[in-house]
Amino acid sequence: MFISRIQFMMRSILSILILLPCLAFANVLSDIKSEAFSQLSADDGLLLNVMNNLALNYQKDKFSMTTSTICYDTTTCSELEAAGVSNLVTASASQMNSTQIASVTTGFIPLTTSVNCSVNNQTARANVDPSGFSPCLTSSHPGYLALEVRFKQVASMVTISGSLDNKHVLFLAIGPGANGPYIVKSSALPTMDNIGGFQCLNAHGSAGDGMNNGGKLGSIQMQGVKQMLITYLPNGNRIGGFSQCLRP
Amino acid sequence: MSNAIPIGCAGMLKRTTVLLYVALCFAVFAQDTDTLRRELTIAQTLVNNVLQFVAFNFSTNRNQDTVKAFNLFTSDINPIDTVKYGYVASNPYCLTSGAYQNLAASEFNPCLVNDYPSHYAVEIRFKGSYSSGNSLSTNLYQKYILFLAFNIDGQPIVSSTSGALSAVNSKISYFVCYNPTTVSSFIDSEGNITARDYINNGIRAGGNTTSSSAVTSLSTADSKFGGIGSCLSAESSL
Repeated sequence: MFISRIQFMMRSILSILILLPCLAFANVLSDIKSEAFSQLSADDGLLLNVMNNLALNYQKDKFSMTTSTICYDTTTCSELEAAGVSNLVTASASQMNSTQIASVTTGFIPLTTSVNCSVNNQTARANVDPSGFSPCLTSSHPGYLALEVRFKQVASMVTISGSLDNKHVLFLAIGPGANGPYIVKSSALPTMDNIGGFQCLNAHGSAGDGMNNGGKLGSIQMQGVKQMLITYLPNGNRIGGFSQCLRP
Repeated sequence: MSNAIPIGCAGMLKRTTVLLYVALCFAVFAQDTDTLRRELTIAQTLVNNVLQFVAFNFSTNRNQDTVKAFNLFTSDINPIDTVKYGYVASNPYCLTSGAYQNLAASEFNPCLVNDYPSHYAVEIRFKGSYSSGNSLSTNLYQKYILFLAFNIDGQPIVSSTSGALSAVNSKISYFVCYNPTTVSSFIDSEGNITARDYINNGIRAGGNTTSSSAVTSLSTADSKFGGIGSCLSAESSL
């Protein structure tokens, strides 16, 4: 009886010793995961406010709505100013410090743009045109009502999660209903009174593309396989949010 | 009556002398090894703390481009001279004409890190002597070791703008020790050592594992990120 108890204890200790390296591994991965989760959850609140404002503006102005950009990062603000973005609002210092988002541009993607897609190789970041949108991201969606989110780079915010660092996502507005069409500006009169929701475009892309450079928002690559670190956020909203971008 | 020792006794005396000499040599070796082991154990405690700090610091400040020095508490028993951590330059150049003197706190020894461009690393340099004036063991005297940071995917953390690596490279999972006998810049294509490398000068920290005076293990544990104990295996000099 006594010997078998000792054997059981020895086995338990051995199992713990074998598991220790695995636990260390799990800790690092869960650290990465919880960091991404907490930061994106916090940023989701800001995004929902912007989405709701865009919905109100569209309801009011329809196709006469102008594009506007809010920047939350001094480096990005300078880039946007240098690109000639006219309707630019700089967030307060406290707002800047509390978010991983670098800028949000809302409005209709220009039907034509004089600026071609280009990438700054040093920062691995795509350019923006005077509307505030990135031609590299939006060139295949001219006239779409959209919302572009650019995340900060680790150079601007040292604590930013690696799965948010320098990521870009584009939300395309869709009309109400179960199968609402995209809201696209045209010479005809608008056919949709309200925004029903958004569809998120979040692509891995490829290294050096200046958008997600091979790893989309919320993802991690291990053993050559790209996986989503997080697949949901708790404060999802009817109109949208970052949860929509987290599909594998 | 003769004073001469009988032939049989002389033979015994010689054998006894040889045995005593061998025993004395072993005792001296044992004492040397004990001192080295003590120095390595103290260094292990310090390095355990350093690696934990660097891993924690990296998780909140991984964009640190410049190499920084870790300030060690000045202590009479501390065998470590300097600790530096950060990203190795993208093209470190090792001058093989002589020793690097007075390297800045923001500069790794380029000969030590030559094979690891853009890697995130921790450089440890041992002292030559204590403040008392006593020398360190020859198997630690002014030697270098390098800890290379690895991610959870088992890959070295290398400075990159790839979006695919931004998440996996955002935390250090563990460190791998590089404890060279002679660094590669001083070894020709046929495997011959071309000159003294002023890194470990042909004997790695802790001693070459083929030597009887080497310490190849410690009774105390490394940190979960790694430590000095991992530098004592033969594989760490590769």
